[in-house]
Amino acid sequence: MRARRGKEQRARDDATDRALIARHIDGDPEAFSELFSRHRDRLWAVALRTTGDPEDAADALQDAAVSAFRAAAGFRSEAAVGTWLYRIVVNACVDRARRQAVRPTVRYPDEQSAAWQRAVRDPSDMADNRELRIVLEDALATLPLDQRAAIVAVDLEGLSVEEAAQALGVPTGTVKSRCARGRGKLAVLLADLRNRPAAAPVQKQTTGRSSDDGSRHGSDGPGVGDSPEPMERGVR
Amino acid sequence: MTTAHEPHRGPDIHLSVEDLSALAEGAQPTAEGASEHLVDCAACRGEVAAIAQLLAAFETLEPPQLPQEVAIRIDAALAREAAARASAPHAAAESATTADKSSGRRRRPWLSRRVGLGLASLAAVVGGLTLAINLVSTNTQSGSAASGSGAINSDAATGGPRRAEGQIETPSTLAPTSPLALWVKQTLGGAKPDLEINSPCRANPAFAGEQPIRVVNGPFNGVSATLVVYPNDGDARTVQAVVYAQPCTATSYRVLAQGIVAK
Repeated sequence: MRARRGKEQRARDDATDRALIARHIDGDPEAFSELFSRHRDRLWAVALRTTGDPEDAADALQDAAVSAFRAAAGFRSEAAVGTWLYRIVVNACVDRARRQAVRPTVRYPDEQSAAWQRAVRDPSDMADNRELRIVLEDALATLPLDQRAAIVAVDLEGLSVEEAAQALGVPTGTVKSRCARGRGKLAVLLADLRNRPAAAPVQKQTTGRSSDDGSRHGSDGPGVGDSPEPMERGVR
Repeated sequence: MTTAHEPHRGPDIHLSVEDLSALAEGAQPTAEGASEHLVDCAACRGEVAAIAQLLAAFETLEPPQLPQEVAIRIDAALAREAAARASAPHAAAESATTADKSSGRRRRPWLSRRVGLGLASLAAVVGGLTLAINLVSTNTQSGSAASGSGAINSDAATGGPRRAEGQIETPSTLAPTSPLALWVKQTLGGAKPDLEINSPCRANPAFAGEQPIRVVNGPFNGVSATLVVYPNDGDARTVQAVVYAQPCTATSYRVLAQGIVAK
C-alpha cells in the first residue's frame, strides 16, 4: 500500500489539483468538490488511523473539507495540494483529539458501530489481513498522537520524510524521531502479541458481516479489541 | 520477544531508537560502530528484527474504504459551502465598487486595499467566528490606534457578531509600545526561532499557505496565547502579527490582537 506514484505522475496530479483550485477561485461551485474527491479516500485513511475512531475520523474529515474549501482561495503553498490537504486533515484530527482530551487515551473501537464495521471491512476478504489491521490499528491507538501521525504519514501513507515534515508542520528530524519512537513501541507490542501462548482460539472477528451490512446493530460476536485475546494469527 | 533493555542508553551501550529504526529500514545508522554493535548484541538485533516485521506488516495492510455515508456527509457539507459562497459575493459587492472578485479574497483580507470587501466576504465565509469580530475592531479607524490593548479585545469579545460595512481604513502600523508590538519585537530579536511549535493556529483559513516567520507561545495580557508572525508582503520593514488565545485550533480560535508591526 505504500505504492508511491512516480514523480512525473505526481507532478501531473498536482497540476490538475492546482487547476481545480484556480477554477474554485474563479467561482466554479463544483471545482472544490472535485478536488476533494480526488484525495478523499486517502484522507479518510489518514483520519481514521490518526483518530483511531470512525466517528471522530468522519467528523475530522468533514471539518477538514470545510476548512480547506474556505482556505483554498488563499492557497499559495509551495507544497503539493495533496500535502496541504493532508495537513488540514491532521490538524482537524488534532483539534478533535484536544476537544476530547477527557476521554481515555486508549480507545478501542466499538465493534457494534456500523461505521466501524464498514471501516474494517476488508475488500480482499482475507481474514488474516483484517485481523492484522485491527491489531495494528489498536496498537497505533496506544501511541501518543504525534508519534501516531508520523507513523501514519511515513509508514502507512508512504510519504517521504520531507513530505511528512511538510504535512505535519515539523522538521524532518522530528518526523524521523517520532517514527522511530513509535515503531519501537509498536514492535514490542506486536512481538508480545505474537509470543503470547494461544490459550484460547482466535475468535472470528466480524461475525455475520454478510448479514450485517444493512443493519446498525448486527454482530453480537466477540469484542474486536476490548479483551486481550491472543492475536498470534494476526501477525506472521 | 520482550527485550529487557532500554534502547535509550546511548550508542556505546545499546543502539538508539532512531538507529534501530534506520537499520530495520535498511538505512544508514548515525552512531559510529552501530553495525559492529549489532553483530555482538542479540537484544538490538531482536529489536531491529521486530521493527522490520512491523514495517512488513504495515506493507500488507489494505487501505480502509471510505464509508458511503461519510462520503455523502462531506459532499453535502461542501455543497452547503458552495451555496453559501455563491450568495456571499453579492452582499460584498454592495460595499465594494469595482473590486474584481478574486483579488479581494486572495489577499489576506485585513491587509487588502479593499478591506471592506475582504472583511465582508470573510465575515460571510467564517460566519460568527470571533476572528471576524476582531477584524472589524482592529481595522476601524478608532480601533487601529488601540489595537493590541486589552480594552479592545474585551470589547470585541462581548460585542457580538458584527458585519463589516462601509469603508474601513487600511490598518496602519501599531504603536511600538502596544503589547503586541512589544511581543513581536522581542520575538524577532530572539536568537532562536521557535518555529517548531506546530500550532494549529497556523492553519487559520485566513492565512492558509502563508509561512509564518515565527510562532511562539507565551502570556499575553495575562492569558496564555500564541503569537504568529507573518511577513508583510507589501512592506519589508513591517510584519503582520496575530495573537491567538490558547487553546487554539484551525476551526475554533479567538484572536486577542493583531496588526502590522514595525520590525
